[in-house]
Amino acid sequence: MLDLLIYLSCGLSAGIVGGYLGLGGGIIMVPFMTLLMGIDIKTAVPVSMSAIVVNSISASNEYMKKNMVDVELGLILAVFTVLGYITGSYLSDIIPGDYIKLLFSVVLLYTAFSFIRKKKNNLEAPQPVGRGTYLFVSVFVTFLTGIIAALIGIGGGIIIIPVLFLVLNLPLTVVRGTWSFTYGFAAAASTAVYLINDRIDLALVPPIIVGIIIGGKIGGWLGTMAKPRAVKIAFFILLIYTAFKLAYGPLTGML
Amino acid sequence: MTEKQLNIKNLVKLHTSLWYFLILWFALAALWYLLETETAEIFSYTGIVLTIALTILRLAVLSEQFRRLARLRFQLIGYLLILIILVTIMIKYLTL
Repeated sequence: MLDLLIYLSCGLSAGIVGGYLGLGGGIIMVPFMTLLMGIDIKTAVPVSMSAIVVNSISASNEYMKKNMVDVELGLILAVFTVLGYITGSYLSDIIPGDYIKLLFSVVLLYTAFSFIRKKKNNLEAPQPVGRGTYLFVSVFVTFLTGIIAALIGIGGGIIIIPVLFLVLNLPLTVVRGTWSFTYGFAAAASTAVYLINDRIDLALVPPIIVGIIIGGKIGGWLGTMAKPRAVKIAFFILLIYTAFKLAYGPLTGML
Repeated sequence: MTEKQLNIKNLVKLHTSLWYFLILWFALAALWYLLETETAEIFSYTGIVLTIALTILRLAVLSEQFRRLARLRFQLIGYLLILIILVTIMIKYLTL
């Protein structure tokens, strides 16, 4: 019973943070399960992935109600993220992961500071006139970030949201809403693969999913009302945390 | 000429229905674990399969909405995404 409540709170916190920022919530769930519950990372990642699919349905609903989802952009992002993940998973056998992690942690630190310093914040979605250009650029951006995400083994949201915000100058509310709608499609394919490989711990899934369904709704609702400054600070903290987490393993191995 | 926009209200209705369905399913699975493991695992497994199927359904509904709006490009992107997900699953299944 106690375990059930702990996993429920894990899903709930991941849902709230993920829904608020437009992320899947893996960044909360995986450390929670591995560090606090002592679960092996090979078990934690598939469980988190299956919960992420549900979180997308839960959180994006709130963003859609407030018209903060660009469905067309979301579809394109989903296609190229999935293609990027597939390419990245093949490249991971060829490219040494440690150097990429180190390089990318520097890029993430730079992104974190650019993100917090950026003052201009559009309030409206781009007009149809300029759509062709930004759809074209987002294809490259998402494909590349999909590859990098697969190479270094982290979810795409923590990379894609700041990149789309900084490179394409899209409003933060639209980027978060659109990504919360999109990541579920990419995660569905991965979850199916984990399920076929019998890698999902079925006992852990229900309480975490119940938590994330409720949390995603709360987080999504909070996210629609969030002030850009608060979101930027939350992202800044998460980006710094991810950068250090990525650099820690390779650096301790080299020293 | 402006393009016709999607009916977001329908999408919100679909997502709300899915939300209620999934929360009921997984809450039942979580409660079942307190009573018996074997049936609960079947519930959990079926729940994950349903979640994946419902995600594909979301895409199919979207593509259908684009078809009604005569926006062929996005309709095709929707079906392409369904195809990519299904092919990924099939390749993994066949190479197992």
